[in-house]
Amino acid sequence: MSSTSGKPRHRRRLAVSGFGSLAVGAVLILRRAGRSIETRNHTTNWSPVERDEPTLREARRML
Amino acid sequence: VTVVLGVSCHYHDAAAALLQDGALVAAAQEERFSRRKGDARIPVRAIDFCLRNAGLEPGDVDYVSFYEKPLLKLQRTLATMRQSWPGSARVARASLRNWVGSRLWIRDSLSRAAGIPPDRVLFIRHHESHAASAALCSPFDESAVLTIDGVGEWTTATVGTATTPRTGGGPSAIQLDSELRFPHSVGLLYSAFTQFLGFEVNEGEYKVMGLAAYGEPRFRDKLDRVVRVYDDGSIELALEHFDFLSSLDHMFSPKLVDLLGVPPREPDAPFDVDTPAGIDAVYADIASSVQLLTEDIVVAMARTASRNARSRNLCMAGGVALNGIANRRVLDEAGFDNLFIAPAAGDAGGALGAALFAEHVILGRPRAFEMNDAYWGAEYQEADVDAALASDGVTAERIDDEDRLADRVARELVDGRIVAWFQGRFEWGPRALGNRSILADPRDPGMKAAVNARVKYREPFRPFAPSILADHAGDFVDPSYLKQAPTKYMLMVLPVLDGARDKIAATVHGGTVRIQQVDSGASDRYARLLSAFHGLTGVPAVLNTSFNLRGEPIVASPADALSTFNRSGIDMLVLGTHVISKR
Repeated sequence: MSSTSGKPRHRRRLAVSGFGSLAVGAVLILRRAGRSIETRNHTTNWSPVERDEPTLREARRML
Repeated sequence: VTVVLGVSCHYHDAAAALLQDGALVAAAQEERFSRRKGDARIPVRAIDFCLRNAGLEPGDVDYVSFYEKPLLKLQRTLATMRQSWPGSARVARASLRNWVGSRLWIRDSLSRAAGIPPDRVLFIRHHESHAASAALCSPFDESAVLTIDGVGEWTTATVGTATTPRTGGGPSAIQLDSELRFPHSVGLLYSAFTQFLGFEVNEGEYKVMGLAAYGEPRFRDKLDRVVRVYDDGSIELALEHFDFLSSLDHMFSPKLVDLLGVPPREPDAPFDVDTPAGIDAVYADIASSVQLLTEDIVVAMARTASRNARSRNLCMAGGVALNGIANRRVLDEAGFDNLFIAPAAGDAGGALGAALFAEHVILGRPRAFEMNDAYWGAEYQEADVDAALASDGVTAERIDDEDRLADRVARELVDGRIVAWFQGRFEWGPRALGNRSILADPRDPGMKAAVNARVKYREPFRPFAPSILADHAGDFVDPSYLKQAPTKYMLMVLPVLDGARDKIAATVHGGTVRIQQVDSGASDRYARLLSAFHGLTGVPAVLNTSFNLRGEPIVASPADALSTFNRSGIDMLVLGTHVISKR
């Protein structure tokens, strides 16, 4: 990898695949967000609270 | 010693709070130090204050606990943009700039600010932070919990239970059972009307409550088309009346304007009061209607909390818990004997709630702390006062004898002077409770207009609250309310007893007062002043409003106090035992 990574064609390929991954990631987040609002947005009454056990591991998560 | 630092920021009212072995040591909003109203930036100054106050340095902290789950919030933000695209394009640009610029990196920012590894930064759900800010400060071992605000991550309100035994009683647990989800939000509903009535969102909600007293709720029926309220207090907004999904600037849509049949009030337009007429009377009626609607919803939610928890104790938090009229109705109508609301019930309080939740629920440490007063901010030393006076070239009279100081200030108040009163640590929460206060004689009905016009430079309809000595408060309001903590923090509006109104006329608003009862233990010098005023006048109360000018944060330091004093019509400033008079 290191011997070829400096070639322009390979750098281009890496950049394309990097941007591709970012785009796929963004689409996945948006699709998940889209599903979330579809299910949540029409809640008109109290919903049960969904959450994991409040542990240190859970509290470290930003999501 | 375990040190937990709680932090809230990135929306409004950034704040920090520090616990040592579960005991609160210090808590403050960033705006007090930065002098930027509602400052939402990472509260580096407040964090620095908390650490210094505890004699700690960055690196001495065991955990930082943040008041929400940022990526859950991002998920909601993205979902909202997607739903209202392309109308939300402008919101999306601004919002994503914020996320990429700072919000996504909050773990690193907090880890740097506290000098600890990133895996020591914890994230507590927004409404759990709110719930903890009440339940883990309350005097209750068990309680029902009700949180209501604009929106946290997805959640806009919750009901649940708290098991929070003090020393020796076992671990604490906060269980939020049911939630309302964005965009169906009481807080956003109230804020939309705040904006319709020409006031600033997140700042002007108090003004709506104040204005409501002048109107009749004749739009209440129309509002049933704006929001559907179920018997259990859950709500569904009719979203076509609102714009907050797709607009940066507008919370309500033209449909709401059509429904109400009047144009939105121009921001900062003058009001025709004390007897609103014409269009101002209509706006007062709208304020009255949305206030009544909000009370009805909050009471119905509290009844659900009561059925759910089967407890006689209720802990409330979230910005809506600052609505003192709704709070009284909850106590009257929802089936509870006791109500606790912490002085910082809004998002700033989430900093303390996040720290308490981490300490007692996540780490499982036993609870001993109970909040009995609101004085958790910075205190300034004689040297700070001397330096501020010298820098301003002001000569002060120093009165070290406590009785003589109280008597001197009480006489000034009796003579109709307006006094700024600066003592000890500043308050936690949006209310000035006798340590950063502007005081006046409550007997003079003209004093309300005088303080509004000469000192606060604010709308003439804005009410003032009385501070009343606890031993005498039962002469002014129904004594059965006085065991409730919110009456110590100006968080409950109560009817004034017949025969008592004239004694505190400048603080009576629509026959009610937003009372602060003053316990001599919590604020000794302030209680002494009230006693001196009582001795001179027979009235154990003063008019108390926050020591700030319109649009500015409440003063923190002696220098802030002098600056505000110099730019206003305040007659006298008392900085500790230093007295400065304009005469």
